[in-house]
Amino acid sequence: MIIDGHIHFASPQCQYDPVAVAECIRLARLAGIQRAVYLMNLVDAGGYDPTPADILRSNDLGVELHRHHPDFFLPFCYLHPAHPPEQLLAEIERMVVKGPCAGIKLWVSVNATDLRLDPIMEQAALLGVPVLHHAWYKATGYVFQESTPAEIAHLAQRHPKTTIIMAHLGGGGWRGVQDIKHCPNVLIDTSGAQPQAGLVEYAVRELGARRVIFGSDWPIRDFATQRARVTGARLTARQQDLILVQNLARLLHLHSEYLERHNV
Amino acid sequence: MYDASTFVGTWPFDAGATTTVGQLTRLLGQQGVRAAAISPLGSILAAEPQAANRSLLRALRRRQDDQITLLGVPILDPTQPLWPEHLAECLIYGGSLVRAIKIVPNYHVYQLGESVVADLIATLRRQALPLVIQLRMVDERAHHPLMKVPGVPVNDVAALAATYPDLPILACGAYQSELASLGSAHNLSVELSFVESGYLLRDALAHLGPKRLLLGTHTPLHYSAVGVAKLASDTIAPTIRQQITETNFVRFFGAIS
Repeated sequence: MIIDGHIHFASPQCQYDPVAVAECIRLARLAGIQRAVYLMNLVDAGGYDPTPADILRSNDLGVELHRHHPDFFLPFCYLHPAHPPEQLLAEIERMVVKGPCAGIKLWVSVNATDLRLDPIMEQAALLGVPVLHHAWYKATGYVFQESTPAEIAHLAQRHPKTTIIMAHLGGGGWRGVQDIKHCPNVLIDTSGAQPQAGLVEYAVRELGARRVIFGSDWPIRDFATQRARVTGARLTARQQDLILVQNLARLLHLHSEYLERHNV
Repeated sequence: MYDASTFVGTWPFDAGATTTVGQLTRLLGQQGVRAAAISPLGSILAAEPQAANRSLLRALRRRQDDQITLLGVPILDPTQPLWPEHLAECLIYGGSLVRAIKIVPNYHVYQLGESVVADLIATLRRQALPLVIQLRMVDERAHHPLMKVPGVPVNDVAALAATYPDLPILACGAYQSELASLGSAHNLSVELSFVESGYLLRDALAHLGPKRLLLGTHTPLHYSAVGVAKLASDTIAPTIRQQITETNFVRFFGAIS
């Protein structure tokens, strides 16, 4: 079993498309991936600065994905921290407390150093769910309020009781790993950019294998190709198993399911 | 399985150490690669590219093992006055090991439409050598902030290919989003090391067809396993897989002994 901690959809108007969903699951299973965290829809979800309606539409797609394929999709609740706190908390209530979401997704609409993230981070800590936050170092310039790994570290230090998954090891690179090394509440996913050799090993060496999780960023990237970043790295079988399965299983409380499937 | 794009040497922006021919052979061998086209990283940023070409060809000639067939693809800078002598030396010294010449127009700071490129191509055609164009070495977002090198414009590559329809050209380092622009010229092939999307094989085949795609790993800068895994990203006919992994390589670089 492999759990992919980072996928999207690019579904027009955030509509549930059974053909596209079936193709996603087929390609994932071809790569040995049995579960996948759905983060947000990439098109028609408001871009960098979504409205509350955009957020609802993208999250509703997550509900539909989970309703049709509860054994495959693990949706996260997408939020825009600039929206009123009562709206944010209501959406967390709808999607996490009463809905199927196992975590919260933050992208580039508000920078990680912005205090408007605080209600979200505090609620996530209360509920015991992780917050996956986009991060990147870009020589080409940043989009909207995009965060760097150093800014994720700032967020992590403000909220030490909240578990953060910093997205895009490939985007943050070696410096990004260093930024979060001393933030034990931050894990990193392996997605992002080109598969620079040695980077996954570096993350494991500096953070430990328990703080690295597999993420493909499909359909921007490819399932099998991204899996090979982990299986092609010089890691032990135990380290690979932690990254590909166990860390997310532990974080999302799927561990009993994992043990059952492996007859442990 | 044959790999159309690999390197040896040192890339100064990479955290890894220098990669020798022996180390490259081991990395590729672990993935089942049986032949590879190799270029020297040292030719890209050095003041003079020939020293690294010479070093590569020397290493290839001294190889004792024959588990993997290695072909040298020297990198020339046609803006340098002595490039004809560099080419001649590569061909004399490398002999049948040299099956193509690579250029890196963005790092060597010239455009594909310049006359120096026409001069180089005229010589390559006389020697019946194909041309390899490296579009980029690194994702632009990950460049050193003091050295941002834009990719080679793919429209320029397509225009060059259209100008010389009998010259086989291989584009290395193309993004998936650039394949549409590269699809127009029948003599232009693409290796897959930077090509990726959720439907990469479907889309790449739609743009270029099975006869113009080559396996490429960009080893040692990328994980070798990742380049190889692209062929496992979707179910494709064995004949198409054979074309991408071997047949097209042989058509471009020549027979593998």
